[in-house]
Amino acid sequence: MTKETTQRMGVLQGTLDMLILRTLLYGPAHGHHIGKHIQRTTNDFLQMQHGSLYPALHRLEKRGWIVSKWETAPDRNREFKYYRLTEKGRKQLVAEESQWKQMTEAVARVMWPAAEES
Amino acid sequence: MRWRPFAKRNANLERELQSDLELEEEEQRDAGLPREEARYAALRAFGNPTLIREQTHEAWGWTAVEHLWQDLRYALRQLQKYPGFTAVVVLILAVAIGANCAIFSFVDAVFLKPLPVPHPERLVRIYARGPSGHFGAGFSYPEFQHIRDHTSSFDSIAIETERPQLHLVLGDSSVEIPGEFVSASYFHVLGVEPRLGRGFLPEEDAVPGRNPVVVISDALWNARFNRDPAVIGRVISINSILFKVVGVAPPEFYGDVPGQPHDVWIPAMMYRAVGYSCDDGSYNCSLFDTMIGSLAPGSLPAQAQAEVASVIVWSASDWPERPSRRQIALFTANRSSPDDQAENAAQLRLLMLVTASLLVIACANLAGLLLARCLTRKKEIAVRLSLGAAGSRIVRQLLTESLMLAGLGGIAGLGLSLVGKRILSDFYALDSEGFRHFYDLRFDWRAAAFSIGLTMLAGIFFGLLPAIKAVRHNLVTDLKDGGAAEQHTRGGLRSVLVIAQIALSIVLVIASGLLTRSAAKVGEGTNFDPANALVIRLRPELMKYTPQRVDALVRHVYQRLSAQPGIVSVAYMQGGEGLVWDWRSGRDVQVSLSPESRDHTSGLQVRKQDVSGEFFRALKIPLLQGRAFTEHDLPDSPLVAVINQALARQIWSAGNSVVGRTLYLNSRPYQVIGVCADLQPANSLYAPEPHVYFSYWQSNATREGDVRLVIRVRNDPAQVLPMIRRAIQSIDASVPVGEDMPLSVQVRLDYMDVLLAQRVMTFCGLLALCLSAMGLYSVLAFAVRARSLEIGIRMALGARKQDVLRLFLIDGARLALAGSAAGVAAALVSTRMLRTLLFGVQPTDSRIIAYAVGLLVLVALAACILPASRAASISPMRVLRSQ
Repeated sequence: MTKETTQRMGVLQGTLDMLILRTLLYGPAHGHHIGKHIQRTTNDFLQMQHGSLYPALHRLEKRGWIVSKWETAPDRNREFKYYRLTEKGRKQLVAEESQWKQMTEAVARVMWPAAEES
Repeated sequence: MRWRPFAKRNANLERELQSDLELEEEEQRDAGLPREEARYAALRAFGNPTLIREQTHEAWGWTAVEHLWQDLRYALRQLQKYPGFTAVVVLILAVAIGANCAIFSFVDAVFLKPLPVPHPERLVRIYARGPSGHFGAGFSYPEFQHIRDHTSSFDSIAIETERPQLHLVLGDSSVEIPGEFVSASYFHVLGVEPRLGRGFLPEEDAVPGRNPVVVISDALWNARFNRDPAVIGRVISINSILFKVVGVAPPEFYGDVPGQPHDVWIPAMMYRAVGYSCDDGSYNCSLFDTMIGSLAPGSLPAQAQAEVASVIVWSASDWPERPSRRQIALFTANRSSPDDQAENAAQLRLLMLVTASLLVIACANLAGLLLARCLTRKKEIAVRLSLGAAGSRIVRQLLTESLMLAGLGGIAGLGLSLVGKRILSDFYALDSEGFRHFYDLRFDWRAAAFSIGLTMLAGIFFGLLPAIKAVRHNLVTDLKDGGAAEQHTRGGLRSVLVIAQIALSIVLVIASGLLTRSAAKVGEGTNFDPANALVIRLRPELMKYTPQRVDALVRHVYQRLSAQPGIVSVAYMQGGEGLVWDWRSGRDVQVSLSPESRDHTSGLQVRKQDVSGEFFRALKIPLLQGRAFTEHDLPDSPLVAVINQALARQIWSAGNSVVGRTLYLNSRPYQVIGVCADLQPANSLYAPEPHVYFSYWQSNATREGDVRLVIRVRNDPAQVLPMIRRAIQSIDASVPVGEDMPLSVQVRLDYMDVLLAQRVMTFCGLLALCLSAMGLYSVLAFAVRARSLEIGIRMALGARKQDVLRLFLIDGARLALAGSAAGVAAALVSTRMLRTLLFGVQPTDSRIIAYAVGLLVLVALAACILPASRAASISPMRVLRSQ
């Protein structure tokens, strides 16, 4: 367990919502798709069981940031539950993004002060 | 049974998760894994489906409701599983909650319910507060007019005064009715529209005696006019004046004071015509009780009070020396006068306290029962805890169960409270003058809130402790079939509960013993014998009798009745408003020991009544010294008086003979010829009042006021009553006859508060006793079961049956005695609350306390015998083998 965490990390608390919203910016996607995308984009660095997406998805839906609909996939002959970003979700993403940026910059200034000056 | 919205949502989620898993599985298969492997890999990548499902449910935000739903279903199953237990708990709760709700309905009716008018919140009542602090100093009509014309706080304002002595004659029947004299604005102020006819016109209240019109109540319309619409315009006789009926009040409007319904409303200007006015015949003294006003929009009661106080011109002629000694007091109008309220409040507070104690006892009892049941469910709970159920969840679930029990109890309790209300309102139906009372006891939102709140409180109260106890178990020992050693700690908590129940029960039993003694004491009469006697009130003054005619009437009635078979003796008396034995009775006069001292300081305030010679014999009042009046004590013979013991003791020091002494009333000397016993039941708060009796035929009274016939009969007084009524009516059918009931009934009605407290207390006390016995029984029965192994070993080692029996009896006795000791201590402190209700018995009467403890010990013993004998009949072989 310990060994694994040094190489890969679980998703930071609170950032999962942002990641989901960001992923949906490319267009509607279903749960499996979103999970795969996040995993692939981070080169499997973020260790995540995609099941854990669903509570977050339902939470975001309840807040009105995303909406869902059962639709037939273009390349397959079966229905998936597609999630779509709402206008409210878009705004939320911008807000979370800038917040995240501020935080990482702040953390960076503490961690690497010299690099910042040069 | 599933809840639909959840079912649909769940299916949806299930489908979504399934499709994700399938996709993952396909991908894994595409990557070259065999079918089985792919499935497991997919699950690994996906995570724990159950956990995810639960987390998603939480995201929906409905978990609380969902859990509640589960808990409710589980609780229902539990209750169905143990129908006997459920029935017992519901019954106990129903009685306790029902009693509380019934008493509360009176609190509601007397103190909380708004008046039955469209805008009760805007009504205020204005009182004049006298120097002694009471609120009945009253207003004169000019004072009312001044306030009406010089204030702006009110939309409209009316003056009113209550007059119970109204005598209605309809054809050949006559009846006394309570009514009010009101200014013409009265119905307008209240916003009450008569259901038939109209209210009063302003000009009908302008000139004294000019407009004999009356509005009657719906109840009177129903009782005396058969709901005949043609009643409008009919002429009825009230106090021998002919009134025209102009309106019938709506059915819900009983008057403006809870508990005191009025049957007629008459314009204030007719007050003098029916016989009431100031001494000079005017309305310039404080004739009227209160004013009632409807606040103008935006004005507040406090402002209104300040305004009235600032503009009033005190002018009442009977407050000449310092008119401003009266003060304005203004209250919201949904209640009786503050004076009456204080009396009601004391009574209802006591009753609520008693029924609340009953509920506490019931809850302690149920807590004990549930504790015992949690022990039997210990294993089940331990299994659930070890499988990962949260303790809080189990507490919540057990609490749901007890709340559901409480809810069932509450519903059944509401049903029982209907019975309780019926009994209570029968109690309150009449006062001792024979007037009916009316309380609006209908269920309203206040009563609903009270009963729901009480039920919830009870459920939490008896459910929380066992629930918390239940999850604080040692899992390991519980799963290993519970060590006997650990039973004792929980037995300890249950013992405390039982001791508390016993203690509270003892208090109630002692209180009911005291009240029972007091009620018996009051009911048997204090130095007079109410059995086989009647005191009937005649009101010739209402028929404008002259003093000569009154005397003639009394003589006639006396002769007629004396000749009747079945009548032992007849006497008559005059003076006072109340009953003979009532300390309120009699007219206040000043007597002194010297002819000169007529000033108010040296005289002594006493009550006076004029009685005929047979008065003392008819009531069986003991004469302690001297003699009673005889037919020789006539106007031309020396003036004589009989005084009561209280007066004798106050004027002359004890030991000396009082007979033969002289006392003075209005400078006229009266020789004391006898001393009689005090008729008033006394206690530490009410000392007997000094009383003086004069010979009826020597008194120079103007024969104003009521004449009372005191009649002793041979058999049941209720049966002679019609004959007596006929005899009086054969002389003059128009003379109002009132208080026509057996004296014993009248005494009971006069001490209603004592009797009611006694009934409620006895009911609650007996119930509490039963509950305590039940509690004791279940603690012991449980102990016997838990200690059966120990008993088996003891017996195997040579203990005899009686040793085991003694062991458990001593256990039970210990609990009973501990509870009794605590209860007696509490009773010694708390029975002081009953002081006003206790006559002829001290709040700490040692004999009653001893009886109560004895009763409890007997009951406790009975409760212990069964479990103890069961313990003694344990077969050691069988127990040892089974364990």
